[in-house]
Amino acid sequence: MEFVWQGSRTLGSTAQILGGVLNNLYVPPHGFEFDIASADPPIQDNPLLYDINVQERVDSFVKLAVEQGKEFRTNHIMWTMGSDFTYENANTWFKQIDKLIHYVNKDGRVNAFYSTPSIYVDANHAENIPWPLKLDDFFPYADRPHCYWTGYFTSRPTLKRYVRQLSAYLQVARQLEFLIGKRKVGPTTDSLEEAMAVVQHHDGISGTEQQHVADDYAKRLALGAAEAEELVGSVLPILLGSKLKARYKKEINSEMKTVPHVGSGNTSRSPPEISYSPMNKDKLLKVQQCALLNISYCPPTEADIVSGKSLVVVAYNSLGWAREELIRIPVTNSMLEVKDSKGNVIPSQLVPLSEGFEKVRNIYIGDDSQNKHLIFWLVFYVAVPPFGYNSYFVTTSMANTPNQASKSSVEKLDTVGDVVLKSRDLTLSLSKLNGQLMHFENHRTKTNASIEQSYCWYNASDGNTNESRLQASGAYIFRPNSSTCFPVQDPNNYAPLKVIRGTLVDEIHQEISPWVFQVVRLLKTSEHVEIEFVVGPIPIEDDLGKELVTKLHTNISSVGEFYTDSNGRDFVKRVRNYRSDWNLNVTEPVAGNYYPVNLGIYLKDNEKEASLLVDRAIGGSSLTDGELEVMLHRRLLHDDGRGVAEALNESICISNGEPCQGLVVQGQFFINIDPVGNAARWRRTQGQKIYSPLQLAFAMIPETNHSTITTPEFSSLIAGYELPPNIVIITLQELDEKNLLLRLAHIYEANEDAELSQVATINLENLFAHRKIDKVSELSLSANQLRSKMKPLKWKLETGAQMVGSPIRGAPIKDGQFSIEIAPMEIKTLSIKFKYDN
Amino acid sequence: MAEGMCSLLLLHLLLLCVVGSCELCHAWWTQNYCYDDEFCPAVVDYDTRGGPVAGKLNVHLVSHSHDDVGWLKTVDQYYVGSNNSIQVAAVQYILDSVILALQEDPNRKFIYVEQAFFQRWWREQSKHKQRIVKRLVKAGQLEFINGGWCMHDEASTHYIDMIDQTTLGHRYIKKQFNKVPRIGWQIDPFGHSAIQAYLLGAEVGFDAVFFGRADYQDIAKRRIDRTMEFVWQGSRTLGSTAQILGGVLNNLYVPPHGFEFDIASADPPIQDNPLLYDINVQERVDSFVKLAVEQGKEFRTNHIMWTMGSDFTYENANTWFKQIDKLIHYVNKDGRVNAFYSTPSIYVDANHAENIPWPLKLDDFFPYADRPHCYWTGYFTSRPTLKRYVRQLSAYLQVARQLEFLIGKRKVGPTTDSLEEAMAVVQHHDGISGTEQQHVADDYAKRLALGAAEVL
Repeated sequence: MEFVWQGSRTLGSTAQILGGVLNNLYVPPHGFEFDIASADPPIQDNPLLYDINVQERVDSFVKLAVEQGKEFRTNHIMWTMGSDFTYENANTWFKQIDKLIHYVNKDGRVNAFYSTPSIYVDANHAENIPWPLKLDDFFPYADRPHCYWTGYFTSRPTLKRYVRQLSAYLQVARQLEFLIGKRKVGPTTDSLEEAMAVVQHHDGISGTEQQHVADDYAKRLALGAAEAEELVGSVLPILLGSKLKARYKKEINSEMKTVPHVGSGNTSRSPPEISYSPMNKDKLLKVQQCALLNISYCPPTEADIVSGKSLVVVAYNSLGWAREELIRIPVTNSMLEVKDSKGNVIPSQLVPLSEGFEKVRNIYIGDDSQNKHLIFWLVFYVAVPPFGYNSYFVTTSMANTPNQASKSSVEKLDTVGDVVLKSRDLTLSLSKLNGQLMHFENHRTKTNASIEQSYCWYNASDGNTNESRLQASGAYIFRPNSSTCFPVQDPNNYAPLKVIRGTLVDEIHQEISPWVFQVVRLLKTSEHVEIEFVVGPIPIEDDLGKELVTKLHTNISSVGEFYTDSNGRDFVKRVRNYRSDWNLNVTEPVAGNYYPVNLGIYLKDNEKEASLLVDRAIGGSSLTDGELEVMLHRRLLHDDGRGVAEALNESICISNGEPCQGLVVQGQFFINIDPVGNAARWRRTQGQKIYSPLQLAFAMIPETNHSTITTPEFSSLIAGYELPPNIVIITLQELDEKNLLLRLAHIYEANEDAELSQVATINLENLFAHRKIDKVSELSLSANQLRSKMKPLKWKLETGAQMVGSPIRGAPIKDGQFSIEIAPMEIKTLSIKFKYDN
Repeated sequence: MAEGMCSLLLLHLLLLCVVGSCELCHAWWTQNYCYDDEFCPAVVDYDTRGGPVAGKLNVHLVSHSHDDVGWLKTVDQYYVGSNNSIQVAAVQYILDSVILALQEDPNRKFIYVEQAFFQRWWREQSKHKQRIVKRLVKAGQLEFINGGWCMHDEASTHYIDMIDQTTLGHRYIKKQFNKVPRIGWQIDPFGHSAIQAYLLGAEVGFDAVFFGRADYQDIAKRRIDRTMEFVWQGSRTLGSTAQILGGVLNNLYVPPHGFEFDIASADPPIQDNPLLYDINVQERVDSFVKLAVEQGKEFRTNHIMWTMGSDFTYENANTWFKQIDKLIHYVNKDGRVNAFYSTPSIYVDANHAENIPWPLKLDDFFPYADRPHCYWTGYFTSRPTLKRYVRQLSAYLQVARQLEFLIGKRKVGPTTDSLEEAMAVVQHHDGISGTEQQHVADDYAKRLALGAAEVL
């Protein structure tokens, strides 16, 4: 029950901990629950009253303790004396436990006392015995046959996405808060930080809370986000209107090639603080942001861009890497052109909205007056420096100038012949018949694979079964009533494909069924496939709960193995119908093979790896060799009896009077096939970009007067510097004046990539062009103690317990030095004090 | 030791904060609690002081727990908290937690009724705890009301047994606390006898007797006539020489709708923390005032009583007192009505001071119906063999006592005490009435049998 747990293959024995499964969930052994409403017998030791039970209770205590003792290794066992929301009247517990301790010790067969897990662990540690080794994780969880808690990996997918989106937004807001200095009054990131912390709860983001509680979480997030948005909206204009020079030069963009030398006498390193005085408040830009861009709604960009006005698009990049990415904004003008911050016209393209988007937009935005205009996506590439932003200017253009945003060609296909999409290096073939991907060919990497992507649904069990009767699929539990996944697409009635082609991007818009829409997208510079889906309302008129999955079938011989990430970080190998720690009795061939997916899921053979990256937490598996599947949405009609006491039947009620309808989910996933060994680089880089999308802000200004934008491009890093591709900033947060919390993470595991699974060295001075570092200390992960003061207990391993690899660690930061080593999968938590000149 | 000192100091400072010296108090709060300025708005010192105010409607908040001396569980099961699957009830914890809660704020008051339970608890307490309780009683924070061994039935009890069981309880209260209960509190019995009024009320020395149950038609009329309270002359013979103030409680013996604060209550707690969602202070105060004003119209003086408790409540007294503290604070801040911790004695004194005339009530309150077609007249006969057993042992107890007296009560050996206690227990309104569960009736019989065996 207790073991040494090495959760990271990369960090191995350098990051191990004693793990312990508690004896009885987290409640006391049978008969010793003393909460106010408990039916367990109190100790009756008063000779003046009837029914004395001291001896009987002591005997039961001793018996249970001795039994438990047989299953644990040392002479110490732990009883968890509490349960959900107990101790509202602590006296009912303590009075009884007082008596237990008194009478049990008087009896003397066992020894009982008030303790804590720390005391318990110390006692176990003092025994100095060897412990078994446990690797990887404890997913999936089943509490009995047929009852896999794998449904919650996907439950409430829109809440999961909202949290992921705000997670990135919080990092952006914190960065901007730091750049300007945390203010005593006005908006802060604190309420978003608290809201995010609340929703991480295991009945929060998990989706296993009641509907009204999910609503409350969303409300907290929305209020926190609104405040953060206000903060971002107030900081960006200050930066844009400041006198700082854009310090980023494009020529040098990879530390892998050259680590920029930072001259100590470099005058550019001691500019004044970015100053802000209320005097120039009127001269500041008013920027807006669009939280509903995900459903194509953005009033500032949809406004008529009249002649003489210019729509400013500011793209903020919270990563330490320079990025060139295609962004998309909804517009209502069709004659537009886009200039970069130097005034050069850049290519842009207008892409029609897909039917799926129109549908979601109509549900939530309804008959907004702007909605009557035809909406296009205006897409163009932005180049944004690391840890900084860049600005772009959208104006109306004369008819038929070459500068104008190019229209996409739209082709409705119902003729014979397969569809081919091409980017620089990638050729995708799709079946014209049903729109399914058929072939993936990357000319650069010489990768060739057949590939088929489809949607299908499992019929959620209503519990009307012989085995595990009454066990329905619910918020926690995934229990399909058979292994059959029913196709969503009607084989006799394929809706025609819409093929959109243009200068920057090609798309295929497809209505797979009235409740599943998708866009297959291929950027001209891209080597991966981007799929955007709109699913729902899941129909339930047939009284069948449904769990929608998308499957990706390839010709890769994965022999039962696949990989899923651990909370977006390490990948863990999964083997179908197998557990490394015990002989698995397969009761649920589908649900029992589901694993949580936060970053992605992949499989491989000797030649290729097929990877699928996700935009939120969902459940996924590989049930057939070569095939990946992820669950995108679920709508259920029964409770699964694990406490939430509601069916997970999410619905939305937009306006009074109108009937509520099932929730619609919009999202993206990304597919790539790489030669084996090359895939990690895409998964890690692309995964980071999915997590931290460019944050966009908008403003309308006079076309000729850019006085409010004196610094259209900005990087906080020193000129020409960017973080190496294996390092990301995961936290940059001003805790208080002069104290910055910085976390840098190495995003590669050992041996994941020949080049990037190496120790990286970062000179922290490179990160702060506008400040001077005074002192750096390395802290524990939760930043509450010096790393050097962390002295966790060492545990002996059983002989025969397999040690994994030989982990590498980055050297601790040296006193007075600002250069830090980060080894694969390491996270360095740093407290940075800055010097203040005045 | 250091911790004890610290909490003593804390209590002292808290008191200071309640009683006055606000500047010092504020400084203290700031030093000790406001680590972060932002979180100070959540700190409120609730003002729980107060008493009757002339010219205002005065709401007497009477904290109480109605603890049946046997009903669904046996008397000892109720005390210990065993058999909780039948009913969640444990009197030992009620008294534990009430005493702690009273110590936290000298303005808080509580009344306790059933001596069968109180004595069980008292016998388990340390000298130190007993001293604390004595102080609370002396200060008027804890008041014994009714004070008999149980809250006896009024239909199937013999007056001799009623006197006996009341005497047993009163004797202990006198001996332990030198106190004499002033108020009859027959809040649950299902009909009320003339004997209760004049013999176990007036002749006991009570100033008033309150009860919750009277015929629903009677109550409806009394509300209109404002005769919920009256002078009750139970005896035609003794007439005005044995009269008592009688009162039908406004809402059985529970709080008005929405103000039940027991641990498992679904009523809304007062949410006054500006850092949290769903603040409801104004809404709760409005509801309080509305209910009070409505009740005020049906009673004669500017004083009304709210019974803040129910069956086996206050197992966690904090859930009540914390909310009532807030109610008193915010209702008085609002000012439309005046609310404070009170007891039936304080309530009766306030009514008496008004010096107004009261209607007269003769005879009794039998039979009782709580709604159409529902007469509680079955229990007059329910469990006839238990009723007979009690009657038989009643006579036997008198015999035994006489013999005991003749020879002189002995320090060792059998006494009449256990039969006396058993007889006192079974007078309970879910005892001899026959309205208890079978296993409880069996327990009563067993107690009687054991008591009788000792006397034999």
